[in-house]
Amino acid sequence: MEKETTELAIWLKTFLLFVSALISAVFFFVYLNRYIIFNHASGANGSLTFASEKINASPSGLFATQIVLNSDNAMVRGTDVKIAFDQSKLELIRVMPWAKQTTSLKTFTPLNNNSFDYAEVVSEANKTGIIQFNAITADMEKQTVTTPFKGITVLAELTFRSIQPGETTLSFLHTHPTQDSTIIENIDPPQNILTRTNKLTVISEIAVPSTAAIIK
Amino acid sequence: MRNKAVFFLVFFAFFTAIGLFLNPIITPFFQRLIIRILPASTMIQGQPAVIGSGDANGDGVVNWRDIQAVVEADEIQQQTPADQYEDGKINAFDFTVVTQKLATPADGKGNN
Repeated sequence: MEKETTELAIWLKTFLLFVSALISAVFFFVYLNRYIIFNHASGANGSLTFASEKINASPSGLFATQIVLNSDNAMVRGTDVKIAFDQSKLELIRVMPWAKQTTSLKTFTPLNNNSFDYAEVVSEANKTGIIQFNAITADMEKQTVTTPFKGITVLAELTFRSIQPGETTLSFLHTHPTQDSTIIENIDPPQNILTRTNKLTVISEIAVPSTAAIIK
Repeated sequence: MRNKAVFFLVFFAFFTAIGLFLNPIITPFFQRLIIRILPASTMIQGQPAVIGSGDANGDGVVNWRDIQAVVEADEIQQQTPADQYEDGKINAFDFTVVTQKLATPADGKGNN
């Protein structure tokens, strides 16, 4: 009986030793991965939104909407914009990279000769129904990384033409955590802090032929 | 004897539970650690020298050209060193990784 008790005491000591080592290991890994574990819960809630949620297309069929970026006080290195729209009802005409003039988000991609190639964005968008571009804190002409962006800004302005009467909705795609719309906080490793977007409803009573239809 | 059996059962259950909890944290941690420890010579020919090190053009140094490599890369190009975040897509994540690895991100030119 006594022998069994002594044996159990040894096992218990070993077990406690393992538990202590394991607790230390847990704390060590939690500390090393503290950004991954705790950042999103305690971190910023960035947003990419349309400035207005409802627009009536003008008699010419043209209308513009602004995209607002809010970093929620986080320092961000870049943002990826991915917007879905119905290209049978709307035609994207232009993308104006406003934040390039007013913030450290100096580079909008895709690029063509170091300038924002909005024509490619427009062309792809009207083919696929997805508007896709990025803005990052770099100045390609000066070859410098600019300071991280913090705050609220009009990121870009999208101009559309209504090509079919009726109601249609534009929405940000952000289901995938890393491959859709994002706002990237400058921490190591980088984190997507985009948590809020909205939708834009467009109402048009007129139908203006698309550019492609006019060319034909 | 019965005590021992109970003890082993508790011991096994405890470590299994801890292992399940730690696995998603430890695995990526060690993956990144191994990538950093392994010399470039151990990598497969034609593959990026060191993924996630900021060396987005695979030339062995981190500098402004790596920023250019990320910015100019095809967005959905597969298995390119520009995919610094290793998610199969080139976007602001990859740019951020490179900026963080630049030697002197303040001037943005790194170790040119």
